[in-house]
Amino acid sequence: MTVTLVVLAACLLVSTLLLRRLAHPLLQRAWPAVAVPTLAVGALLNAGTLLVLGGLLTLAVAARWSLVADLGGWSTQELTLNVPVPLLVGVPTALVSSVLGARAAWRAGRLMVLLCRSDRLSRRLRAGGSPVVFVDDTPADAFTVAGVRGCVVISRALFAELDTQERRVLLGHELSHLRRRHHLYVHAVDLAAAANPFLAPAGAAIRAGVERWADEDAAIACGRRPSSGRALARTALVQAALRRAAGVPAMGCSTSVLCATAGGVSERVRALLADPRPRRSGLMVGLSVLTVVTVSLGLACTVLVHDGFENSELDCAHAAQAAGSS
Amino acid sequence: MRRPRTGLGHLESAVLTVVATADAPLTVSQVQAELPGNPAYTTVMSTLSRLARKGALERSLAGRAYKYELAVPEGAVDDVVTARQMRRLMSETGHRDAVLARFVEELDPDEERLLTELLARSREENEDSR
Repeated sequence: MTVTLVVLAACLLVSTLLLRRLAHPLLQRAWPAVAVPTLAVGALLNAGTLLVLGGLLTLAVAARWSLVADLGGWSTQELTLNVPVPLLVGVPTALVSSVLGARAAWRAGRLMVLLCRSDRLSRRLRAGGSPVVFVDDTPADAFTVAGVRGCVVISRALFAELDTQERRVLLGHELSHLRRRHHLYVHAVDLAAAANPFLAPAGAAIRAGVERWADEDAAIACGRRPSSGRALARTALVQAALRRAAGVPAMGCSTSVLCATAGGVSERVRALLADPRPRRSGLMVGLSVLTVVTVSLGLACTVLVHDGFENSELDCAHAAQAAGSS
Repeated sequence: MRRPRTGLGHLESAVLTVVATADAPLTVSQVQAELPGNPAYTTVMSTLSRLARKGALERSLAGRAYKYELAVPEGAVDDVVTARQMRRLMSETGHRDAVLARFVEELDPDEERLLTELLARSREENEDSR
């Protein structure tokens, strides 16, 4: 069991480092429609397995405390033999993992609240009508509001300045966010980063990744990638000019996570002007394999620890029986 | 075929894009002509009427053919509560990042210059290749 636990911890470490270091280059080099889900699922499973491992070690240490052992009917001596986790490792792990677990639960609750709020807003905006809503109220801007149905909001001032091609790229992009529920991938990685803080850089990468994915969808809808790239660049410039003319103050970009990928728009334009990325990459296959191995090891550990507890419990019952019969 | 719960399929979103970018209501054949990949007339027609049934499009009879345009929600967008909700959504940084996907973030001057250059270079290449 000790070996399995150590190997699992090593796998988690490697996959965390990989996700942290390679999230950004991976999303730049690979096809976004494949890379984004792979990364999101990988991050979520990594964080989940980490929490499971933390929970197992916590249980193993806590059960040795006579109060808990009596409650579960376990023999403390048998447990020390059957689930051999040194206190020096177990206690700090238990503390850290309970903090991380609480963080993840808090983030999950927070995301639910935010999603409910934005869902309410998108319902109001749509009012049973089209998922594309034009507004006068916002400064020159275009965005997708997440929700069960969600909607696309575009300011009339911006739309009026664009030609047909630019309008199509804009709409194709935003409808792609809506249709493919891109916000769920962002939420998955945010949640994973709450449980495993080392995954935080993957959060910024996934945000850039879903933008690239939506760009590619828009380019497919418009036919030609380079001209879609030019349309994207022109739209960004038109929006900047409109906002400047209206004297709109910047929206606190320094604190925004999206701005951690500064230079985002020009990178997106460059990606569309270049040749399309390969759909498969060795790196991504490696990451998937590592994720599968880590999750299987996590399951194996759960089974082993469960068996250890079961054995300790059985011995306890035997001892009680023996005491009763004598 | 399985459709995501937004109720938007691939073709539906393409059709919606075409209708929304047009300045005037479009007939089925006009929409068909604008769509990439040459979908069949009947497919486009059924997609349009499905979108109209869902409330995303409005159709009106012009002569002997139906014309389609984006359905406009009545008054809701500009009411006070919605505007306040939207401003709150836009101003809370944590909130905005979680549930809003903006088309482009604000540009700083460097990036603006970079984009202009990219655009100029790409245009030149495009003209060279013609």
